[in-house]
Amino acid sequence: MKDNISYIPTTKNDLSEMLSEIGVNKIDDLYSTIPKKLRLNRDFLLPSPLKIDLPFSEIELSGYMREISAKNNNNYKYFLGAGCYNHYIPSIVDLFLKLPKFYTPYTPYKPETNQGTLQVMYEYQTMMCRLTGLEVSNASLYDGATAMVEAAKMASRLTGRNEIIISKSIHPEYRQVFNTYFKYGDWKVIEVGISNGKTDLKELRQNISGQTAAVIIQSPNFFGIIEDLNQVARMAHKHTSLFISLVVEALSLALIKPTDFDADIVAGEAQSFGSHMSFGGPHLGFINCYSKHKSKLPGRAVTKTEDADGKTAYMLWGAAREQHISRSRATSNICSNHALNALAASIYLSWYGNKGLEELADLYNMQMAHYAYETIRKIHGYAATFTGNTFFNEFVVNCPHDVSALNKKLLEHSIVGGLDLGRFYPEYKNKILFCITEKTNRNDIDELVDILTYLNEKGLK
Amino acid sequence: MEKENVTLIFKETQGGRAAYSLPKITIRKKDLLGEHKRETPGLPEVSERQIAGHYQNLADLNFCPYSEMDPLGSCTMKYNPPLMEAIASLPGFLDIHPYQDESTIQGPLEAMYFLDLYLREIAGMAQFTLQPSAGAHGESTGIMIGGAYFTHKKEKRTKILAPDSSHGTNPASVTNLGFEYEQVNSNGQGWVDLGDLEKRMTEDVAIFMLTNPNTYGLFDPNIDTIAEIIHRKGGLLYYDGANLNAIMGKCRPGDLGFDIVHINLHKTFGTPHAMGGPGAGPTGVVEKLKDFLPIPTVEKQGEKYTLNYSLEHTIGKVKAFYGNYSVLVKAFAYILMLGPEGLRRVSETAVVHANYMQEKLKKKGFKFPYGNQHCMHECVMKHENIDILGHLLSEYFKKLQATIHFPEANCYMIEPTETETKESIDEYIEAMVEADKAIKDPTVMEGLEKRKTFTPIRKINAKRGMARPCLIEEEEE
Repeated sequence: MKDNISYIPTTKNDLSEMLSEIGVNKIDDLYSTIPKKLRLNRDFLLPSPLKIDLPFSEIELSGYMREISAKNNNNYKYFLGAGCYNHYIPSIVDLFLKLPKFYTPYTPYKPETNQGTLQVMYEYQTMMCRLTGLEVSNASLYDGATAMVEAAKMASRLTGRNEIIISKSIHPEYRQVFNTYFKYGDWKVIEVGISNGKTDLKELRQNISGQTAAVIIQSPNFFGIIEDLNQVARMAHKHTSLFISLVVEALSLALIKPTDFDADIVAGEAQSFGSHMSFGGPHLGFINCYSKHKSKLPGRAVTKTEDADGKTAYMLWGAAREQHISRSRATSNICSNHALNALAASIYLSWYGNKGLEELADLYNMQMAHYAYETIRKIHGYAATFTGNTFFNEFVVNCPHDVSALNKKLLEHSIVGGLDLGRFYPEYKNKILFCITEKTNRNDIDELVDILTYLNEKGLK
Repeated sequence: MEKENVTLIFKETQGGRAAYSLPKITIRKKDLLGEHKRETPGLPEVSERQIAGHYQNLADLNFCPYSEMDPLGSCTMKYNPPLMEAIASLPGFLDIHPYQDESTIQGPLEAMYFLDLYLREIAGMAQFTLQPSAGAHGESTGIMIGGAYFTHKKEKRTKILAPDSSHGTNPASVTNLGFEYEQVNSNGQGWVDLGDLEKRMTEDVAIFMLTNPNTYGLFDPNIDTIAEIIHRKGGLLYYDGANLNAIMGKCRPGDLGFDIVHINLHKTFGTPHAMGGPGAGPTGVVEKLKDFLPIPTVEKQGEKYTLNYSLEHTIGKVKAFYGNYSVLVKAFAYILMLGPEGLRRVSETAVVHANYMQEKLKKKGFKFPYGNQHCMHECVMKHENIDILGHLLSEYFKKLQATIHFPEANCYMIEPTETETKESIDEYIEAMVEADKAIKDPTVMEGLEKRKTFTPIRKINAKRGMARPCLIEEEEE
């Protein structure tokens, strides 16, 4: 028996004292309820990724992890977004995420010992609602795709209807997740097509009816284009259906407020507010709604109240909606959420403030993306497409090459190119979706343009 | 003036103050949005110094497993090693995009590939998906896999069973996916009532969801009979891995007859709970269900790791991208650090600690309704004044309250975990004895209540919070 196991403080002496207090001779006596024939009478076989066997020491483990993380030369310039955005994260965000008093506590079920968490959530809820224009926010969900699923179920509970209309301009993986979940139960999901890069409103009008619980439209949509939300809301409300505005690039909220377009529910992804790309997760799902709809809201929410002395205090609100109280009648099964990402968002939004967030969204993302668009479309073969629309920080152009071959070539220049739209939309083969953030400045864009121009002349070979 | 511990950040706002810094920019600004552009949203306007103070002060209001033993039953609040935080923060893991070229993401794919292999061996399953973000998300995934399997077999099964002692997520996962939920009774010993299970296990039941050890902290010894009852009727047996921390290296869910398993990495594999999350709930299945897993899975072809999107019967996707990678890599690192013997010792020690707690408290006169058996990694006490006991512990003894009123009213479910010292367990027991004395003796209680509380607030006014919800701060004009 190895004496010292990492993170276990119990000595041989402790062990024998405790066993004698319990009144057994050996540890296995405590496992007597496991039928003998079902026990594992060998050690786990865990193959090592290295030439040394498990367990690793701390030195070996950090060495190995440094080695495999360095396999990703991450000094890339990213022109890739598509639902995961390479925004700059202020140092203060990362620092506070590492405070043990933030990253180790449990869900704040007991308010007296979790006031810090609860106030963070209350402030986060307030910031999100001020951005979306709504009145209630939950304190995080897993990600934008699952938030879209939860928002649709919420709308169904509110309207008593089981038909959901989604647009094909929604992130393809979100629709994939949505379609996975809505195969179970009595649902009708209608997918409305695309016309010139936006939801086909004529098709939407034909499909929407008194059976429709909700219409879900992403804006800016998967192609970065801002949708005609006013018209969508009007159509939905005519049939007393709910309009769910799906926001995947949350930074757009700095310039566009969904309630200006009569959104009833805003759901989506706020990774852009201080969460790293992290190879796709953890990110930050959210749902905001009006107060009159809050009894059907999934996920935790925090309310302000007071303690026995009348001092301001915070606690979880509406446990009756949640699984640990209502079990089979809960509005969702969510238990663990993404609270730490909500903390990141709060610090991020406090750091930028009103003026900073507006500048960031307008100048460094939207205006700079338009500069990139105007420059790239002038390169021979990179014709504009889906023209006449307004886009935020992503845009689509035609590509004279096979997009994945082009991207492989760009990688040699330490550039991660745009998304090959053909990957998700076979009909858009040879179209490329570029993303511009504050981490791709004018020089980076000019360099990309030079390389694209050069590759045009020389070919990809 | 309102008394509050930390001023709301909105109230610290001074117009014109800001923390952000952005590079100089020269761009000809166009009016792109016109009338659609919004008005100012009302975010805080504060200096970076103020932000630092604000969040430091808020953190200080929290208690956490770094400061105190946090014996929340069924939550496995073990110590979260800083090493794993350092690893997850490596730029080569943190700042990479999920759609990058496969040649540039070999590192994270290797980590995910090995984590899948390890979880297979630990749980006795054929393959895992790492996509689910939480235990409940794993439950949804498992139920959808089961549902797709029966649809494929052209069997109409509309019901899913779980014991009355199950976590609330079980029934909530079932009904939220359109299945009918039926509760199976527990018997007087805290185990599944086999007669009741036999009666309810009909041919329209798809899945029986079971936590074993269960939420009473007991290992159900009839597990082979349970598996036999479910399988005889063609159903699937689902393992809620919430309590896996008790049995690693002792037995494996796959060998016990389970067909689908979710594992809470934020419990058993030491990744932090982070005020509620993110966690991760990888979900594993037996051979016959492999083709139903969500896409993509991570495979190895020669020396190259690759994402496989072609699974014949895949249910689809349960989350955008591939899972909570930052959490997954911490669990992978944890397994590498512990190794086979270490993982077994984790479970053994957790079980010894819980039994020690139970026996010692029993000897001090506390009641354990199932205390005639050895518990697993947690023990369940009954106390008629459990709310008061919990408050006294946190307010006056600086001890974190364990799980209360679960799995039954007046229960106190204690899970000390393997990472606590014998001394801290003894101290917790002493505090419970003192708090219990105070409940029984008004003069002791009065003495206590004169002391300053360890908690930053006194008992919450929950009635007011529920009746008059105030979920966001109104903007001041």
